[in-house]
Amino acid sequence: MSPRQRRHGLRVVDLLWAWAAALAGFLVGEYGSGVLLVLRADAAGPDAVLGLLWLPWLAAPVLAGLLGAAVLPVARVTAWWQWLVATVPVPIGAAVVTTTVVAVTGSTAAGLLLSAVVQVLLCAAVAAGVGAWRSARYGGFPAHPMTYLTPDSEDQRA
Amino acid sequence: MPRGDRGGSSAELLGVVVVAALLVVGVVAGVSSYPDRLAAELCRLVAATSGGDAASCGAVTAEQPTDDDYVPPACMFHEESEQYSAAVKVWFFELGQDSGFVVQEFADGTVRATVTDGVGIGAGGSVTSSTFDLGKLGGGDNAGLDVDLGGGVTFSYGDTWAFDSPEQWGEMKEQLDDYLLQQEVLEHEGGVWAAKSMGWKDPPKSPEVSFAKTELELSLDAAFGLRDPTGATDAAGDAEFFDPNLGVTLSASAGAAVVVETNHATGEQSWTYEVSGAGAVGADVVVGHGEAAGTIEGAFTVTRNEDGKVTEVVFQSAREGGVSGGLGNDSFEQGSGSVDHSESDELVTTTRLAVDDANRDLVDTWLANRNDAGVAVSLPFAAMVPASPSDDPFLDLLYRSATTSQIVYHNVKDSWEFEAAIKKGWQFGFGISGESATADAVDADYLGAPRGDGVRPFLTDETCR
Repeated sequence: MSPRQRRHGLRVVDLLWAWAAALAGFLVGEYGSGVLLVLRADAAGPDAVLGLLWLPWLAAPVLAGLLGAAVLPVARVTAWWQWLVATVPVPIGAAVVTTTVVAVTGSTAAGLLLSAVVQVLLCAAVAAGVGAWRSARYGGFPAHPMTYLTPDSEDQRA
Repeated sequence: MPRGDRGGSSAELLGVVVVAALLVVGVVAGVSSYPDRLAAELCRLVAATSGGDAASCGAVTAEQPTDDDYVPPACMFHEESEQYSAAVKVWFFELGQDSGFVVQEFADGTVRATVTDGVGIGAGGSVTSSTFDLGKLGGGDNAGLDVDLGGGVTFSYGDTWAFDSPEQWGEMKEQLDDYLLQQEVLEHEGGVWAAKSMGWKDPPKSPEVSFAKTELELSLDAAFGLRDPTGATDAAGDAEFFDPNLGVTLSASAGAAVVVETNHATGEQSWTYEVSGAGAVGADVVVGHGEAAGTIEGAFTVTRNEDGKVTEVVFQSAREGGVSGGLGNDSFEQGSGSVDHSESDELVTTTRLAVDDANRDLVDTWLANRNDAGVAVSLPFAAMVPASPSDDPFLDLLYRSATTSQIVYHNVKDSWEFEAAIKKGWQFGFGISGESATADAVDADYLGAPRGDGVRPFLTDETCR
């Protein structure tokens, strides 16, 4: 891989754009699910919420990996780890924020570290999957120029 | 007439007219401004010249108190509605299997919610007994009962919140429910994300008021550092002790408990002594015209601010079968431990003296005075209804300054609980039990301002029914 190719592999602006998209996906996944849970609690009571607690937890990293990997420009030289760099910092940062909230409020959350690790792995898996698919779909060598033959004799002469 | 004096008579006449007019205007203005005072003075003048009694001529003080000055505070802002028709309305709701709240609404719209262990609170909020158990309070050698609401939320039995309105209490209840749900959510794997996404809930605010209990003997040692045995014993053979700060001679028997109510917001502490008396000094005044049969039971509360200064003195009693406007002639039928679930009327008499710098010396003096009546409880029960002037400076202060209410509660399902709650210092809100858990104030009176004959009459309290 030439230096020119590496320079075009992961530009800062592309990285920031991917992080923003991953963050948006994470927030939508987490708080969008929270809204749904609140609506569910109002409609069916608090007990109905207890069976859906996985939704914000898992929807957030899935959407983060999905959106982050979706907006990162794909190139033939995009490496697998670049999809992770473009998405995984978001769930890691969210875990730091959540841990801070829990600590500041004096609460205790069951399995906080494990649930954060699950989020990071899930986000990485989704991002890697999307990245692999996009690389396969858009990141290959350009097709060779095609030679056209025309039945018209004057075109062949041209 | 000299030339220079011409016209003088006209000027003098005009001056006389002006002076006369000013006098007339002044008299009219004075009579219209101080009619009672002038009438009283004229009455005294007539009485003095004719040799009559000037005592009935009324007061001549410039600042005559009015009946409004003696309206009991609890009913001052009462609104007419079915829901608030009682000075105290108690109901229960169940939070958990072993927890609950006693919620009290007052006539002025304020609400107090008190944590209990929910014992006696059955499905549907009905109550069978023991709405507020003194034995579960902490303090002294008793650690008290912790009430676990679930989710790690624990309060002490008797912790109380005060609210300005039922709406505020509703918000608090909703917040508590949400917080308990959040605590439950946090128990689940990954639940912290759901808790955060649903809106992080803060824990409920700390209670403003807490109750504790201590034995009388301990209270004397701990609170005042003094223990002053009178040398006498009560009927059960227990030694009597004198509280030099309260002026109360109480028997140090097992039942002589003191309820200590601490207001953490204001720093005030109220010491409530259960009192009872049978034929005690002054009891004939309470039961009416010397009929001292039976026993009167109630509470005597002294409230001190954070500096230790007395801010309020309250006498309170209850008895079954109240009669509006007076204390009646029926003898007392006080609780003997048996539970009576039949409906009844209860007459609650409350006399409240606000103590400030103007009268604190007098109150302190009265509290410090040793009473040599030689009875187990020698509180001046006459003070319960200070309707007439007294030679005793303290009783006269009550006559001049205290507010006194007499409220008849109807539909009291459990008279014994009702009266016992008052003995515990459960002021304003009484541990009313029963299926409906209500007590409607059907008749309310208060002592008005002194009249011309010096007597404070009972007046109907329209705001408290």
